[in-house]
Amino acid sequence: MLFNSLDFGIFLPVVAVLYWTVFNRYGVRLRNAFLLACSWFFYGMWDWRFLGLLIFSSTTDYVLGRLIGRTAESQKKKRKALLAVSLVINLGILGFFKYANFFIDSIDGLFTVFGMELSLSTLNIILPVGISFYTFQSLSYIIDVYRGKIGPSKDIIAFLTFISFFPQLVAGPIERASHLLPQFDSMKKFDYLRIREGIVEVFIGLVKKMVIADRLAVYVDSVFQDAAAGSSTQIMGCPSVLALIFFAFQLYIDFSAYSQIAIGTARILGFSLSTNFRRPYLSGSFNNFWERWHISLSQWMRDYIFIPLGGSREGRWRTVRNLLIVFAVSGLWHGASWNFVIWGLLNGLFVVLLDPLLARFKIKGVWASIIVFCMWTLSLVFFRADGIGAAWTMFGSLGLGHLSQISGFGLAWNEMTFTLIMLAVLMSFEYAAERMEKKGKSILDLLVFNRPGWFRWAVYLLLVFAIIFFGVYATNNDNSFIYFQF
Amino acid sequence: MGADRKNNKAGKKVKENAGELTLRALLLRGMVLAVIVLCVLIVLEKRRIFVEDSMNNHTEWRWDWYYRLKEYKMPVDVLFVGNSHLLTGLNPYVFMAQSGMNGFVLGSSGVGVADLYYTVEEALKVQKPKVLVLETYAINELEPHELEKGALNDQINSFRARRDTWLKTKSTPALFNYHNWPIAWCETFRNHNYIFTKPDQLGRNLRGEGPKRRVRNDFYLGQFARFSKGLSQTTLDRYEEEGAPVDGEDYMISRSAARYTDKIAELCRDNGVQLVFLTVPMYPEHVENYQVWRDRLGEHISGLSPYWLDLQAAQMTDSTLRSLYTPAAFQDTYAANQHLTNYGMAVTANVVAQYITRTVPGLPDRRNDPQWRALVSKFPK
Repeated sequence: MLFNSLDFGIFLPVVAVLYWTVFNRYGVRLRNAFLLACSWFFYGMWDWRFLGLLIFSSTTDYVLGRLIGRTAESQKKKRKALLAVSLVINLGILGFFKYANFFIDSIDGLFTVFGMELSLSTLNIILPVGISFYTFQSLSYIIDVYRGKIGPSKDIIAFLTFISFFPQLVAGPIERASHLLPQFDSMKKFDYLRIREGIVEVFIGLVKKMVIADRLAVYVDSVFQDAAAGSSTQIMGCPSVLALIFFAFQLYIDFSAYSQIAIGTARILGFSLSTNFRRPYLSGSFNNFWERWHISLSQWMRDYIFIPLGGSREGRWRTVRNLLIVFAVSGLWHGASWNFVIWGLLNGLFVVLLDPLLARFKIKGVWASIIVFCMWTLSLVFFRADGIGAAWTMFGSLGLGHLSQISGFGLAWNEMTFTLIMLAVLMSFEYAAERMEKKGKSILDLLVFNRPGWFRWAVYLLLVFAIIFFGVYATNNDNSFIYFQF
Repeated sequence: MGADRKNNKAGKKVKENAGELTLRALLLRGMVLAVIVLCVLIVLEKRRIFVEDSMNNHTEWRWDWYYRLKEYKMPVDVLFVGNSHLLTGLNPYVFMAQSGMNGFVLGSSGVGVADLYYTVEEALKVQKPKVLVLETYAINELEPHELEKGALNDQINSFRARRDTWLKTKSTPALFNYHNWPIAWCETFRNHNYIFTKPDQLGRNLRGEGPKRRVRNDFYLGQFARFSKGLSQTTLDRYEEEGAPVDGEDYMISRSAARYTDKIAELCRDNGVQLVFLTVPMYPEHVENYQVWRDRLGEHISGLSPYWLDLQAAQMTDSTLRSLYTPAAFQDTYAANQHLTNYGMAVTANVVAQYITRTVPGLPDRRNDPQWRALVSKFPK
């Protein structure tokens, strides 16, 4: 079930009304059981077969968490063995469904390099939606239990709901048990203001997704399809550059819109999810960029890979090595292909090499943000292109010629102008939000919630009609969120 | 500063009041918002703001004239229903002149038999023809809930042209996946992209100058004569070189097509209408393994009516028909869908008229009615 679908438009109000009128009134367990049923239904709408995988994976971690909790600190070997079992199961499932074909292809390719033909055939595997997200969430729980940071959950329903919680199940934010799990232990009080904020967040997310990101996608898909087909001569120059810049915005708006809808949905139900994006395109360095982009994944990587590797405590070269490992893993997390590994490593190199240069030449503010954005955008060629060959074709097509062809890829001039205006509005909004946040204020409070009633209603209507009139829907385009594929 | 303080004050007041608000208040406000949005949509629909000029909308004209015939107290004796194969496959004027009965063609391009069932249901509410002729090309593998792109668009066009709101409501779950209900019912949802793609049209509509709609005032019986050029030598050569583009082995009947064909037969039985199946032909070399197609179709429809005029099969076995259905009768195309030319439409109408008058008993012959003869004499030649 997509957030930007009619299904969700029916599902969420029905769930929210039942939740507040019935299930949140008669005890935590009933409420959690209801949320769990809704979450499984939400997930099952994609493919019921993979629901079993989700249930198996989360139940296993619940049992292993309990076992680790029961094992005394002194029995280190046993605790380690239990952790290892969880890691093997979780990473095994993830590895099989997501990476089996990648490894088969890579081994095959490696032998070909040495002149040996293995001709291994790949497996016909469907990638279960959200598997990377819920596996990492489950892993963070089990590792935290092992480390003694949190106690094991004793309530299986609450735990299963924590892993399957539908607002963030398929594309994050990747929540920590210490933050989300305790929220399932208490009854929620109906808070009109919070719910209203949640609803507005959902609508803002939908406008971002349907009005801006999906419109950018029309252009981007068209250009990249031509690039993949090798017809770079037709799209050489400005259209390619514009498609790449549009893709950088599409990716950000698409994913941040998803996170915003997830956070808003959770808020409607009285839950609080972690912030996943904090205006990354205003970053003044790559380090800062990764503190603002997909924050829940960056923090996961930091806590469970970077720090255990030694972090930045063991000298410069070790730090560089650790950073590159983290970024390579992060790339691989995104997708099972060398493209993503290269993309991850490039970003690691930016942190290691570009940030010191920015500091050395004292480049700050807007110029630093522009440089970071440009380098990030270039790296996205590997993120978006289907294969390394297509990425090189895309690189080869970048240039400044063919300005007149700019509108020839699915967006007419008026739609292109509209898109550019929307991007300008969004970025101005982000800039203002950044300034406001530094003063400890919320831009939504200032622009919407603290305004008189008629003004708020005007904003609500504006959001709804923006979707109706300017949303990209009722087409045959694939309008799913980009991060669902991970 | 002053404005800021004012805002903060207003915000505080709002927050204080909001603290007391309940779920009921939230739902009430949500409903008020929904009603406002709905009202705006209704106004947009009523004013047809997101509707394109329709100067050539045959499906609308068909329904318009079908209802007009009732107003003019002109009974339809034989009602033909089908998709583009019928619309471009039979000339109703020729049929009338040859059979002495009033014929009318209903249907829409690209639709399947599920849509035609609801067309027939509405048609039978308006008039009671003696015979219903169902063209069999609409009995195909399409499942209405799985339609996309052009096929979905065709079905929506047919759906929107129908006039009986209750029947449209009833047919919505059957014809459309619920994701498509909003675009089936609401042109604003369906055509909202006119803001970018057809701003001129939108401007005209907003100024009250559109959408322009041509009302057809010449006597219209539902035909759609599109093709005048018959098969060219190039296409005939392709049959020789590449074989037939359509393979009867590929022919399938979807579950819904089977069900709705049954339902049409049932509807005819309940209304005392004789059901006749008609297969408008494609060029014989255009289809290979037609026998397989025929067997699969026959297996399903043979129990529903004793009458099936299969011109695809007949033209292969009947030398007279073969001499009538020359290459000039078929649209010059190698694509899967081949229609008939104006000439081919006239041939079919003649053959169908003979078949029905000879085989179906108890049909009127209006040729003795001078008024009717006068009307027919004015038909386009």
